[in-house]
Amino acid sequence: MPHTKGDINNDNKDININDAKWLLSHLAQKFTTSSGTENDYTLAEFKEAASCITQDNVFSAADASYILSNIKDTSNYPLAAITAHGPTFPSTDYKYSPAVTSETVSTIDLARTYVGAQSSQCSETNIILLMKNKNVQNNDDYFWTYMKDFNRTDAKANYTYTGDITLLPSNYSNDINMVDDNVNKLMIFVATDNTFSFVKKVKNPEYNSTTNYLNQKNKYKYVYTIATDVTNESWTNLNFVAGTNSIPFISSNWSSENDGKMFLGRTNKGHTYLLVKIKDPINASASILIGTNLINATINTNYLDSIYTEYL
Amino acid sequence: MSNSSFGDFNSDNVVSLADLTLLLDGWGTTYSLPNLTALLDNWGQTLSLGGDFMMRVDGTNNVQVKVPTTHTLVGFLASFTGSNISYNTSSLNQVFSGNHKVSHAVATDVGLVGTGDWQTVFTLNSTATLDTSATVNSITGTPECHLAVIANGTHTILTKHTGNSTDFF
Repeated sequence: MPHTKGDINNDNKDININDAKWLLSHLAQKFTTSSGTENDYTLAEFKEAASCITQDNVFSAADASYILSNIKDTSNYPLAAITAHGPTFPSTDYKYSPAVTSETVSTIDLARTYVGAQSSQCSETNIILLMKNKNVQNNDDYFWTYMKDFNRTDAKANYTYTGDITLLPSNYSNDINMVDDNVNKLMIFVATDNTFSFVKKVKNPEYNSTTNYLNQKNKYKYVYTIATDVTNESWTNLNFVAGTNSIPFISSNWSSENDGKMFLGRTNKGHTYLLVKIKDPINASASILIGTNLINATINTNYLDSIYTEYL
Repeated sequence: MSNSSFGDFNSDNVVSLADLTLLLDGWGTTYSLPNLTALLDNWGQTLSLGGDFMMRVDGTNNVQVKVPTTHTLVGFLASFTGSNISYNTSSLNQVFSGNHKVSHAVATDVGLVGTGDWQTVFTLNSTATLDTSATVNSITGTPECHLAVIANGTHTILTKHTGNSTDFF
């Protein structure tokens, strides 16, 4: 049956930006588009749909440009030369949480945190904190948690920590567009209600440099995951592996470490935690252990979006 | 090698009085003695700097394209001989990538205007080699590395690659 030129994703709808995206994904051999027939086209039908400029079933990035030029989608970005590089961060320092994509996830180090944008539900707002380690069956597996948008301002404590992690600065909302040393590091937020959060400054997936000023989103934003007081929990090293340049496994003398020191821990039930020693917000002369449970659950790492390949 | 390193500061591929004027205007700020030396060494010469449309990875892992001033870059496919490439796309939105290919395209009115010199479109985080094969992909019918360009003032988008462009790599 004849198919519409340009309906590359075979959704039988108007030709739109998703057709250009499908074509570019196929050119790049990105997951789920590599064969050209994943969208119920035969190969011949796919070639016919993709060759928008010519009739010879030959196509390239030019055909994607042809579609983008004709649909005038407002989310189409300009192509600009790179004249300067952004800041770089120590690639082997576990205090930093580098970006991860579906292309790089297989090579991440054990027992380090990474951040990625998951677009499995056609959303670019699902930020995840990700780690790879041994599961309780002693197999390599992923441990992760979602990071939600962080909007609180009721910071309670303002201690100075000398460990791996710092407190979110009280003036954080004023410098959100600054690329500074905290961009790639996890921070801690202690609220006036004595609750805790791991907070991270990330590139905002919704930022679009070409959107007009009134509709512009911030280039960066803060995301968080809740941490709880786990001072009295017991920890085991059940199948846990600390890789090179990884966050260390918690030891029995953790209380003698500096405030702000990060650890990984596993409960005797096999739950994996990202931990930090901080000052007790109720008793500043004491320290407590707070942590967030990184769940060991299925995650489709193929959907980690390439938007996070850039520096954060 | 860039045009400017030959003393061809206006990138017209000829070292002439126009370049000397530019040099004098920018002396002490944009230009200095090494630029004057380059201009004198190549005075009056028409430069052979490779093809009009080119693609390369430079010595610091920048993926670069060269497009003449008469054309605008509106897309590309960069394929590499290795796998699991890692790259930095700080100026690229809507980039698509497999484990050894990166593709991108934009509308013709927001493309990258050619300068006749090398321009970086994205940066690799580690060394990788472009797939310079002239063999066409069995599905697309196009070589694994190509540029999409449009001649300024026209409406036809062209695909440039090693099969139809001299000295593409």
